[in-house]
Amino acid sequence: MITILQGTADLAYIIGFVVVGAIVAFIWAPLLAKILCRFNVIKGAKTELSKLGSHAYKANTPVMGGLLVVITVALVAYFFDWSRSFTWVPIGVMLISAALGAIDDLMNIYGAERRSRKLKHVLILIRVHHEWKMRLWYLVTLPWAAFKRMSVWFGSRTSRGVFVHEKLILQFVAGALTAWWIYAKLGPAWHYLYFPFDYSINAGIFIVPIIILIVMFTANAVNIADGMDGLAGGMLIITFSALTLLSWINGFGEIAILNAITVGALVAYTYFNIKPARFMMGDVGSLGLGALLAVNAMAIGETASLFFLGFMFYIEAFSVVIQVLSRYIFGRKVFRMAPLHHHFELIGWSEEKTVMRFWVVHFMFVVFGFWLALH
Amino acid sequence: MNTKTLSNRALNVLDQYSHFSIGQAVCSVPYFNNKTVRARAALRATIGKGSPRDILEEVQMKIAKEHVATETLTNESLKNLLVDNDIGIDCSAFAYYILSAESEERGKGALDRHISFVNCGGFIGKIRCKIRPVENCDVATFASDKNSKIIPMKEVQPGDMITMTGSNEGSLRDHILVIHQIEYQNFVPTKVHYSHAVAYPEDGVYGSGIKQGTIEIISPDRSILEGIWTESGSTAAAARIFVRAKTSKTELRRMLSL
Repeated sequence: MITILQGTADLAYIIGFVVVGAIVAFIWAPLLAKILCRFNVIKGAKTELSKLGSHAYKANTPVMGGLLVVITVALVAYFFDWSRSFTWVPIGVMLISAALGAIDDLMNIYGAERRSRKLKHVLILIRVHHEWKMRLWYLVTLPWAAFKRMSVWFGSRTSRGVFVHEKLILQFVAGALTAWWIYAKLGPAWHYLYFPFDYSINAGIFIVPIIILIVMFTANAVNIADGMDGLAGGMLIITFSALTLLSWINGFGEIAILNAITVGALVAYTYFNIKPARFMMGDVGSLGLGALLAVNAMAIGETASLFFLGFMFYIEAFSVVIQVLSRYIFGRKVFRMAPLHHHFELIGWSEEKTVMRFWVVHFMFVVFGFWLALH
Repeated sequence: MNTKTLSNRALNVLDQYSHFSIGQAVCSVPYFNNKTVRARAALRATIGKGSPRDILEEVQMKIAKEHVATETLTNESLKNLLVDNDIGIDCSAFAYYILSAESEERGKGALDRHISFVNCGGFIGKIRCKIRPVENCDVATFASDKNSKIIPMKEVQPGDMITMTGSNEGSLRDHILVIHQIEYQNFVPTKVHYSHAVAYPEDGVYGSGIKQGTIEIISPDRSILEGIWTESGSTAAAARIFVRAKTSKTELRRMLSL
């Protein structure tokens, strides 16, 4: 198991950062709520996907509340936990992902409707456009147009926000940055995948694509799970709490402090996000925190336990994957609606019941993941 | 006079299409043919190939998403909801589900176990048909000699079908009617009751759906086209389907597996 003894810190000191993170976030949360309301950062009826009975009010609830966590974590870590070795990259990756989420949120609110041309239309334009320069342009950019259309195959529809292919590219950059840091900077011990009961595999260079994939998938998984008041916030508190303890046990003081600050900020965020939410996380928070979760877990050598530490996030993401595959292959739905929390809502569970049961199930699996990580 | 009908199971499927209900609202499932939009790899319910259950689940989801109160739905608004969301059924899928229910009731299993998919060539095609049997079972498949045989009028039974293929008018698609009831006089068939999913131009956008009609048999030795066709109680209403039958290769067929 990887241990960095010089990074260890007193547990009481680390837990203190939960309090610091929470206090800082609580102090400026009303200001953030005011700013979001002032600039009308709301999804509006057109872009609020879920109009399920009790969800109607959400069309007027501000989004981008995730800024509360992202900015608090970045600021507190900058002043109290700024370590070139261990916190620069996790915070950098979080900020890159959060920036991508912020662009998506803002484009969804203020942006114009975007459309992507069908490949067939591009091919026609290559032949018939009256300007030869444009014909050449369409020809040169044909591979890019094909890549763009791939997002439609994955179920993405044209809207105001960032397209799936654009998201994938930026998330790849965040994943690649993480992979470079872990592979090249942290050392050979991080080329291994550690499994419970002292089993490990030297993945070598293959750890790079694994890391990129995990960062991208986890960021999107948290994004997908952020669909009900308090759901993602509550589950992230559980996950980051476990990560705080694991980081401390494994001897990563700096990362333990980073996780502790995140827990504190999340407590404040969830306080305001409990139904009826004062603000919603938005992509800025979910993508940023999802990436941070993946990076921090891999940095402390808990890649194998990550599935259980983020259990419900992955289940939610897999429910979407299964639904899309089933629709394409069999022409049928497995769930009434994906992600999974909407399925339960449609079969009659109230939002509160769904959220709390998801918290409970998530907690149980995180405890199991924690137990596995200790072996 | 006595009558013979499809099994209750098959009639139940027919009823779920012709009297599709949510809350107090009832309407027939509209006609939808995917050849008009050519959606690929889509949900069965939204390409005219959904079972009653598929359609019900899709409508319930739409109702929830659109925040429609079920108790406020009227017959008209339900129909509009279905049409506006491209939820409907085409003639071959309608026939498929009814005949499949009949096949299962007779202890022969679902229809896809017996059908030879004439449009599915090669390894990939076979897998495609195995995975999506309803989508690949068109009228030509039903009317293929590999799946059904032509029967004389005097032997007609519930579960038989009237297939219309290769229309002389290029714009008309192949069509299929399912016979769900036969009236007999002295064991000789006198009247055939049929159902089909269809959209006539006079139906407009929201008027299409499941229609039922009868064919009065003048003589069991004569062709089905020589009978008196009525739909919705009048011969005039059946004029369009009758003309279609006359301009197509119209055959009375029975599935080999039934």
